[in-house]
Amino acid sequence: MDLLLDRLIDGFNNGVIYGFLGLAFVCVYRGSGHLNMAQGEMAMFSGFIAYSLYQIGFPVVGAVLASAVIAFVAGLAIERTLVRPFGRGHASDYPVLMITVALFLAINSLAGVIWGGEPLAFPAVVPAGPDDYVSLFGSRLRYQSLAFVGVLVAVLAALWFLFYRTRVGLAMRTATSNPESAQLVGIRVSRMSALGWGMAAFIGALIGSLVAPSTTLTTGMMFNFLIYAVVAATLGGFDSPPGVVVAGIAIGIFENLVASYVSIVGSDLKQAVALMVMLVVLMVRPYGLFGTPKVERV
Amino acid sequence: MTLLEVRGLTAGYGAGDVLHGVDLDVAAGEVAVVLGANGAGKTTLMRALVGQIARRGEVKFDGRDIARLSTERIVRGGLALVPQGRGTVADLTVEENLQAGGLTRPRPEVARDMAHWYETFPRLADRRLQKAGLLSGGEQQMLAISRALMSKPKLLLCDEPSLGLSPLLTQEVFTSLRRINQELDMAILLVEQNTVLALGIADKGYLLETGDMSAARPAAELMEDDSIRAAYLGH
Repeated sequence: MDLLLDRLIDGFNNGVIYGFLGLAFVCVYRGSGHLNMAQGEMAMFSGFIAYSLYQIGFPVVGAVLASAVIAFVAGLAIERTLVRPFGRGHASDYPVLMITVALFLAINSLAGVIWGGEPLAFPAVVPAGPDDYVSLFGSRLRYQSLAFVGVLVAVLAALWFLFYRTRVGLAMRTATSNPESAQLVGIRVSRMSALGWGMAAFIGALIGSLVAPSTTLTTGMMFNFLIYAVVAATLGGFDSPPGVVVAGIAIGIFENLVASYVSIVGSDLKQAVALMVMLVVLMVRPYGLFGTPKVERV
Repeated sequence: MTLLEVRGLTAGYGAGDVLHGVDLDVAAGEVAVVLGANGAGKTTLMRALVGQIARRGEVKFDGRDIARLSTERIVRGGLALVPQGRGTVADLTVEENLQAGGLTRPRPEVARDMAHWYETFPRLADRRLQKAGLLSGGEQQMLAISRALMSKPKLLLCDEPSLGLSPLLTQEVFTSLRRINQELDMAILLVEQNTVLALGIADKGYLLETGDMSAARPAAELMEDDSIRAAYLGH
């Protein structure tokens, strides 16, 4: 029983990361309709920047927030220089996808060049010693994980407010759903796209810094999460931020349970399980579990 | 006062020009209609006016040269287009579509105008929270027109509002357009195949034939013209 609870908590902790990173995918998608494969690497790079800021004397929280702001600006710049020149719509899907793959490699190498290949110890925002946990029926809920969940909930609430309660959010939704129609009401579509990239980079920076204390800061720290985050975004539906988080958590728990209790899966085939789940869901609900089917005009 | 002044407008989609040097004027408060068969270049003309396609020539609107501006800036300058096939955002609700239409304007005005359009088109009010894509063709056209008017334009462009509508609904849409013109003193430029109804609400008309535009003539005169009757009215 205790073991089961431990596994559930482990799965939940991983799942929150998948869902959080999935949110970054949602923002880019909402902004420009693209899939950014470099999302994880951008998060990793921001983690390193926060680390360096901390090294030169910033307080931890200040370093994390400053790196997030830097990431936001970098996101805008990437959109403007590497994404927008390829235009909008389906014609730009593959060129932009390839560019984000190239970005993935470039950012990863750059981080390696600057900070080297050795794992670095990242300062934790909340106490992360062996005794810093809340006990739940004998299992440990670490402060680290709780803080992560707290930030995730805050980001989710902020996104909901932005998309559904502000004019900018409505403009973003209009621009993604029907760019031509958006232009006809005076929405500056290209700005919405840049904004989506900036927001995604900002969220990524928070993730990088929050994950780093437990994974240690390395250039490869986000590889694993990236695939799951894409699965979470696909399962949850690219237009549903809460759906993506729920899907992320569900995947985290599911893969952990399967890996623990189905012996032939073990830890080697965990990712395959997640991808299988995605495949099955896509066959039944192509727009994701919580996404809304695209309404076609008659 | 001339609101829109077009001289020698040429436009197309790359392979060749669809419009060959079109001249066109719309005065404030006026309803002008451009009549033309399928493929005459009506939609091209509308898209060129709002800057959605490459164009050459002179386009002056409200005293400003808009021939090289982006669509966003042209719209913000007071020229609104109801595109062919409505062009509302199918995934957004009726209310969100209207709000999007008013994004460039101060909030209190948006709330007031939205109430006005709900009153004008009660069926939109009934379906406020439904997705636009689920509306009937007629309702979508009402929404598209209201949405364009939410930006409080000085000139409303309509690209074939009758397309895909039953004769009864078409009649209703044209009656609404006439009312909007009269009540708000809104200038309207319409391109249409439905000659009788369009001329019925228009002050003047143009004929567009494979990219060439005729001179303007009073709508009443066009209605009586036998050759136009033969070419466009089918009798």
